Formats: sequence, structure tokens, C-alpha cells
Amino acid sequence: METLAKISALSGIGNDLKVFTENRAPAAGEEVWKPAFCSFCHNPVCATRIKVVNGVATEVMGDPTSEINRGRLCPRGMSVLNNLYNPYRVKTPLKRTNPVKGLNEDPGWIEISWEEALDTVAQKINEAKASDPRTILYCTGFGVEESMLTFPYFATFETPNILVVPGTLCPEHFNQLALNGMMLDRIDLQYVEYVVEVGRSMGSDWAAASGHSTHYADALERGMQIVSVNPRCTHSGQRGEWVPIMPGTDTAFGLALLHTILHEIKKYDMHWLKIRSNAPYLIEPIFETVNGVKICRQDYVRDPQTDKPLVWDEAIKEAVPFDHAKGETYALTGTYEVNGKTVQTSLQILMDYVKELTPEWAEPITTIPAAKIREIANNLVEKARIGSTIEIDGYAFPYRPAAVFMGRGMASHMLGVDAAKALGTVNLLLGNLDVPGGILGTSNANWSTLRSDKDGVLEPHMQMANQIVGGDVHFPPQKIDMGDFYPMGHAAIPFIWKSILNPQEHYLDYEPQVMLIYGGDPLGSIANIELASEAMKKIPFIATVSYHFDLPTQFADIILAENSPLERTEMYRVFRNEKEATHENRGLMGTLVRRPVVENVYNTRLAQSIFIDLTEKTGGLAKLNMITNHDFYTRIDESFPPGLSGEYALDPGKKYSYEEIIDRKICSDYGPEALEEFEKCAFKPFRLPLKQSYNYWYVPENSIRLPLYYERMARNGKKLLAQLAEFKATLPGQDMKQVEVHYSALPNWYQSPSWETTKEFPFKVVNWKIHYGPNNTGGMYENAYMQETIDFSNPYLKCIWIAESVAEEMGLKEGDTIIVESAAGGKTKGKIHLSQFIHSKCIGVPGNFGRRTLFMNPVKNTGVHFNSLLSVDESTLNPISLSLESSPQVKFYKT
Amino acid sequence: MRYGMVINQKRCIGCDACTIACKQANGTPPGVFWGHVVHKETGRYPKAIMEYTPLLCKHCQDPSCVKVCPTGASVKDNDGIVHIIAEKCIGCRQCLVVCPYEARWFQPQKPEGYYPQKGLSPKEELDLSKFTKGKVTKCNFCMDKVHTGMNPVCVTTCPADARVFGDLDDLNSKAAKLLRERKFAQLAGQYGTNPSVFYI
Repeated sequence: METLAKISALSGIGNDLKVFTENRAPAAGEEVWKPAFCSFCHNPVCATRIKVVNGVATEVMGDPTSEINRGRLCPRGMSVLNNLYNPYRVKTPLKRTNPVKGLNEDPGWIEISWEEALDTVAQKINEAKASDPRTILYCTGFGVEESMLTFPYFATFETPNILVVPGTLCPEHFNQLALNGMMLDRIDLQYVEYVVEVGRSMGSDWAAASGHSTHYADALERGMQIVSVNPRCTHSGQRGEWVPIMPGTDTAFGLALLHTILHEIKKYDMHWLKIRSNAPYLIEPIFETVNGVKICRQDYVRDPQTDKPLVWDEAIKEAVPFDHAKGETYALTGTYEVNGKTVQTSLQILMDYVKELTPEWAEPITTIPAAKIREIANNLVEKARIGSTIEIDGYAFPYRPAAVFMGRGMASHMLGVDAAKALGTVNLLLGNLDVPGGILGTSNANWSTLRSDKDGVLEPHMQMANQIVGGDVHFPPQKIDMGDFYPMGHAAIPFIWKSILNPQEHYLDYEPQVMLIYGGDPLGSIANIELASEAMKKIPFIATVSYHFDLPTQFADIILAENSPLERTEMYRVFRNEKEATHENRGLMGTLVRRPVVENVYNTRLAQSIFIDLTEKTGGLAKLNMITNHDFYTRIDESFPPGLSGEYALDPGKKYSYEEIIDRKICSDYGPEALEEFEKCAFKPFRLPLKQSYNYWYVPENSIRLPLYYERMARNGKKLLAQLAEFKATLPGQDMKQVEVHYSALPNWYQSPSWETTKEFPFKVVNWKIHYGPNNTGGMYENAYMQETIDFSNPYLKCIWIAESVAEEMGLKEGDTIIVESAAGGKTKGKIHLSQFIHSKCIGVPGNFGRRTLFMNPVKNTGVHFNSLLSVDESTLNPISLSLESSPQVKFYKT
Repeated sequence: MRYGMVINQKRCIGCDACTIACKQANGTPPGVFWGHVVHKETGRYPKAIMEYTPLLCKHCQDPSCVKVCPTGASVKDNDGIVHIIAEKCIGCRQCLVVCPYEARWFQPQKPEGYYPQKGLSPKEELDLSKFTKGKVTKCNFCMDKVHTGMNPVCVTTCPADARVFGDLDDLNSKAAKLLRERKFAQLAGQYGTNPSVFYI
């Protein structure tokens, strides 16, 4: 009691805030280890144990009985106790007294009761709902990923404006959705022998404890070869070969690989392409030139009777619908006359398209020597063992142990979608998708069977499916982020600020009245913070559910104080294993359950309980209960229905605590005896038979075809233009011709003066995730253990990387302080590190350090702020995915 | 019996899970790192590499720290674990001088917590009571855990399974097998202390 009283007396936020109205006694008792699970990355699957001594959590360890992490835990998970006992937390509900909002304003917080806080927020929501539910904005992000019940709460507020904030800097999902049918992929480290990483890094970028790092280390020891194509030399690049590339030129690299394979090596997986891709589909070879860029937007040549895409069957020498036969007799290349038209196969179209895009063409663009591009292409083809099979559990799979493994560094550019198309097609030519040794979807098909569309082509249907499937334009737009105008977009947070400030220019017929923020930081996660600040000031009422005083709280009217993970009841469904996989984890799924391991340290509440109360106060409880009954957590097997079934279903007219809902879900899935099981270990596994852990097994040949020709994209673009014309609208701020350019069915390459280095701005800047805080969850940048460890052990992170040879030429020394200026207008400052690991035409800024805040732990304010160098608007966002050009031109000079 | 550790530097990904595992499990004060990882960029392109060298007390077979300790506070147990009996330590720091590995930490004053302007957290209240002004502390291979059959926390937590702990005298232990099968190095072997931490 004395300890907690002391914290109470000494805590606060820099003023005289009194946080405890009464002292709370720690629970008496012996030393005990309690089960929990970690929540500090967006694959929160590691089970832990927490030692509690007289009510105080004193130690964390990975749970050795957990099949998923086997006692391991990464540095983020190891830092949880400083998250729990962080005295800079928000400790009680707060109300602003200073009406002036701003990044540098003291809000003048005063403590209020939970009742007053919730009543105030509910009243504002009710008023907005009554006038126009669209005026309610919800911002969320990676901070809620351990809880899948968050979105149903939002649904009960009836607004279309659910805004997921981190997307702009990591829209890396297009490739996986197109070729694996899921938003994420993983590489098969059980078998892969040759990996070309492009803008990605295995192992060390996350240091995940759920098997990935171990599998990576195992693969290194068994001799897996890695080629890392990246402006920065990653851990895997050091263990293999680093091929430096200019940022944003991955598309040219991919196109040159395609040229080499198709025109020089002339060996690829023809059987695979015939039966499992749209390569045989016939197209009229008609190209257009838009804004100087050659694009192709042709529909498939279709059967007049069935409307099905036609292929050329060499066995009968005529065009037939794609599903006429298995495909082995379909022509892959060639020009044919069909229904009076001259047509070519999709593969022929692609071959002709890349004919001039030689390695020599790509060399000055990418800075990769032509010979190296050829070497990589040859190695990929040779090591893919095209034609070989491997038997697993008595089932013969294609065996393709070579792959291109792409990531955010490839995708976060103006041509990120095109890079994904070009490099994804390399994988398609190798035939390595969802088979042993290759690139795999993260979920297995018993949970989400891969589907094809009416044309036989893979059609994603789960999370983020819109990025392939597209959608309709709504006019006037319902969503404030202009998502209605970007049917294949990832997330469009930057547009909300402009929409809020200039609603009429964005065709909006409403203005936001209430903003709720939970689990995401729409200010810190992106650039243009001044614009965002002005927009936030314009919103009449803002409430946040907050663990700490991050930037959005500077604009909040009410803060609802949130529990730390170890104070939370939570359930997570392990339905996917990301990044790297082996037999150990590929088919491993299950359920994680955490109970609070200590009493709340402060006067905080479980966020889910806060939302249940708000839902009740805003009349949405019955709807919430029905959504929960139907949807709460997905199935992992046919025997586990989603939601709550039978006697465990919620009565729509009754209010339930979140704890009770979790208990009911456990009982619904496993029966009441499972309640006790979770008291021993937080993770209850479910394991698929080995062969079922490869999605190829679920979709035999010719039941789905993967896109080589992105007809769906061209179709989406044409639909967008037609619908906009119907509404006599254009995309606000966009050059519509340039938008058209991006909706080509083939991978584009074009250059823009704003991307290339110039005499004034002779460098480009790159940024990368660091495993100490890869996606900003868990407050790692203010965690005392984490930041002290970085400062003590790793001198290469809170600084700016410059190639040593460049620094020497410029007379710069290790530790000099420089100012970096971006052509986009921003500046940042920091000490330099002279490195061997950065492209000589680039500088590097690691991680997400240096976001200045007033009331968080001061360690938060250390390091170099990368996002200051970015500008986010229509000219820097890919109009398909809304991926940001994250490597602006820069110059720098010594202070 | 000789408890020891084999660290596979090829497997280490430099994540510092071990560093923080040690800090939070042993409750060491700010600035004190019984175990940590040295990150060092070495070599020149294209052969440059970031070297990760996990460091901790080497639990030497012939520990100079034990030899010079005037009070018998520094001891080597029969199982090979070198540790300090806090009650006997007078803080003379001779052991710091002779340790080739800088593995010992002197507590010059009553330790502050991680939030100097905010007082001690409940965990720190418990942890820091073990760190008395004027005493020397160090890694003890998590001996309380080892004596119950567990591994040191830096071994258990390693996301890349880079560390193996065991009885080096037991020919069947994984650690002993690794030393038979692989080339290994002992850091600063020239000091003749025969460390029980090996690098492969």
C-alpha cells in the first residue's frame, strides 16, 4: 500500500494533477506465476507467464509450455512491466480546461469521474447520431490488434468513418492479396534455398519470438542463400549478399528480371502457368499512351455465349472458354485470330511488353549492374527446381525452393503497386505460390478457402479484399477519407485533414462533430502534422481512449484512461502465422486468453468495458450483442463456429461484461472445461495436418488461376472513370490522366522529376522498421527498459546513416550533427553514423524516433524524426493503393 | 559439474531480448547490465557486417575475481557458478579491476529508479532493495532458477535459440556436444581464467 501511495503522490503529468482519490491495497498472497500473452506486435501470439509477488508484477517470461513460442519472448514482450508501471500513463479520466488546442498547449487536465466522462462522451455521440452518424469519426490502429471485438463496437455507432491510421506508410498488401488471396504472406523457411528479398528483411526486423527468428536462424545454418535488394544492408543482407538499389526503382528491377527470364533464360514453369494462371487468357494487343506512359487496359477476349475469357487450345486449334479443360493444352504464347480479331495470350502480351526492358535498361535506374540482375534471374530459375515435386503426408506438391520475398520497402513508393505486380509475376513464372519452398498465404484454407471470380481468377474475400476487388464510387462520398474515390485503396488518413478543412472541395455534405480515437495515432503515424493539427482543432469534440499522452490527446476534450495489457482481460485468435514459417508453425493456430495478472495500478479501465458502456448509453447494445453472437472471432475449424453459439449466445436485451463474453466464447468454442485450461497456459493450440498447411492442397489445379495479366485492375479503373463521369466529379487534387496511368493491367514504369535526385537535392532518404518498436504498439519508444537498452547497446539507431565514402568526401565525421532538408519541405536534425550499410546515394533514418510530445516519458523525445521529411498529398500517394512515396529527395549540411 | 553457456553468434540477430530479460528478471538498476549485447559495425562494403557479441559473466573455471576477493564474498560453487555473497562484500572493487570481461558492477550509491522525477515503481521498490550502496553485483547465471531445473532467462527467452546452457562436464548435454562438434572461442582467453561461456 505504501508503494502505490508513493506512486500516487509522485505521479502526474507535469502539473499538480492528483491521480488517486484513495490508495488501493495490493492483493495479499504468495509469489505466483500467472499466464498471460504479449500484445506488443501485430501478431500478438506469444504466451507469457508473469510473476506476481504480493500483488506486484515483478517478472515476465515466455511460457515454456506454449507450443507457439516455447518459452521465447522478444525484447518488446520483455519490456511489459515498464509499460504497466510507467508513471507517465494516463491514470484517470480527464477533462480539458484550456479551450485552446495545439501541439504545444497544456490542456489543463482536471480529474473527473468515470460517470461524468462516459456521460459526456455518450451525449456527444448521441447528438451526432441524431443529426448524422457520418459526423462521428473513429480513428484506430495497430494498438487494438490483440482485440478483435473493437470493430463491432464501432459498428454500433453507425458511422462509415472507421479510420485505420497506420496504413499510409505500409500498404504492402497488394501483392499478397493478388497472388495468395490474403493480406499477408510468409516464406516457407522449411525448404526455401534461395531468397531474393526486396524491401524486406527476415528475422531481425521483428525479432519475433513465435518461431520466426528461430526458423530464420535455422535456415541460415542449413545454408539458405539470401540476396537482399535494398538501399540498406539488412541483417539478412549481411548474412547473404547485399545488392544496393535506389529506393523506388524496384519495379524496374522486377521488369528486368521478367525480361531476362522470358527472353534470355526462356525457362519458367509452363505447366503451372497453363493450369494455374491467366497467362493463357487471350487479349487484344492494344496499348494506349497516357501522359507519355504506355498502358494496357484491355478486357479478356470473351466467349460471346458464356462471357467467359477465352484461351487457345492447341489440341483442337481453336479458342475455348478458360474452363474447357484442365489447361495443359492451352497455348501460353502466340498470336491468333479469334472472332475476327487478332489476339494474343496474356503471357505473349507481357513478353512483348518487357522485350526492351533489359538489365542494361534497368542498370542506370536501379544502380544494380546488369550482370547482377542476370545472375539473380538465373539463380531464381535454376534453384526453383521447376518441374520437381515433394511428397508431404503422402501428397505430392510442386516443390519450388526459390522466391522473391517482398515487403514494405518495395511497396511504399509511387510505383509500389507496379513493383508488386512485376516482382509477383516473377514468382508466378517460378510457380512458387502456396507450395513448399515458396511464398505462402498466412492463413490456411480451412479458415478461408481460396476462391476464384467468374473469370476463374483468384479473388480475395477477406480483410482488405477491396485492394484487388475494388468497389463502387459513392457520390457524394460518404467517407471522409475519400475512400469512396479510391476503390482499391489501403488507407487514406492524410486525406481526412483536407476533407475536414475544405469539405466542399471534397464533395462532402457534412462536417465531423465527434472524433473518437483508440489504439491509433493519426498525428504521429504520418506527416503534415500542421495540417492535421488545424483539422483536429476544427472538430468540436474529441475523446480518446488512451494509455499515454500521445499527440492526439493534445486535442482531446475528454481522455478515457485505458488499462495496460497486464490489467486486461483479452482473447486473441491465432488464425495466421506471419513472415516466416516451417512445419513447426505453418499449420499452428489456436486461441489465447489473458486475465488481469494484477489489480489496476491506476484508475483506468479495460477499453472494451468503456466501449460496452458507451454502446449502452448510445442505444447500441442489442446490435452489439447480435454482432457478437454472429461474428465474435473467426472459426479456425469447421467444428468451431464463429461468434457465440447455443446456450452461450448473448441475449440482445441484456448487458454483459467483456469478461463474461470471453468466458462464453471459450465455452462456445471448447466447452466449459476449457476455462480451467487457460488458467495454466494462455495459448490453446489447434494444429492442422501437415499437408493442409499448404494452401495448394485445398485448391487443386485449375480451380483457381493467379493473375499474370491484371485485368481486374484495368476493369476497376474503367469503372472508376465511368462512375466519376456519371457524377460529373473528379478525384480532388488529382491529375486524372495520371490516375488512369496507374490502372494499367501490366506493371508500369515511368520516371518523374520529383523522384530522381537533383543537383539541389542529391540524395534520397530511406527509413526502416526496427525490431525494438516495429509498429509503434506498446509504447516502446517511451519504454524505459527499451530505450535504455538501445542507448547502451545499439549506437546505430538514434542517428542518421550516411555512406562512409560519401561522408569522407564531404568532410563529415562520425557523430557530427547535420540538418536534413527534404525537397518536400520538411527538415530533421541528428547526429550522423558513417556506415557501410547504406546506398551511397541515400541517407537512412531508422525507426520512428523523435516524435516530440509534452507529457510522455521524456525518453520518448530522443532520436531523429523521419516523418518530418515527408509530405503526404495527392502528388506523393499512389492513386491505387495510396502508398506513400516514402523516399523523398533530400540534402543535408552540418550545423 | 560445470555449468556453462554456448552462444552461437551466427544465430544471434542482435535483438536484445536477453538484455531486457536479464534487466527485468534480476531487477538491475538503470545503467547496470549484467548481460547485454555489443553491436559493432565492422569491415567495409561489400564484406561489412554488424557483429553481435552477447556479454555476461563468464563464470570462469579459474576466476581471478574470486582469487582477489579479500572477504570471501566472491565464490565459485561446485557447479561452476561464480556469484557474490552480498553480506560479505565490502565494496573494495578489486574484483572489478581483475575481471577481464567487465562483468561486475559496483553500486556507488542507493540506486534510483527509471523515473527519477516520479519515485520508484512497485516493482522497483522490490527489486532495488537488493542493490545496496557500496556492493558489487554481477550475473549469477540465474542460479535460483538453475537450481530448480530452469535455464537462465537470457537462454530461455532468446527468439533465435542462439544460446545453449548446460553442464559442460556432462557429455550428453547439448552444450557439451556443441563444443565437441563445433569450432569455438573463449573471449580474452589470454588471461587464463578459462571462461565457461563459449562462442561458436
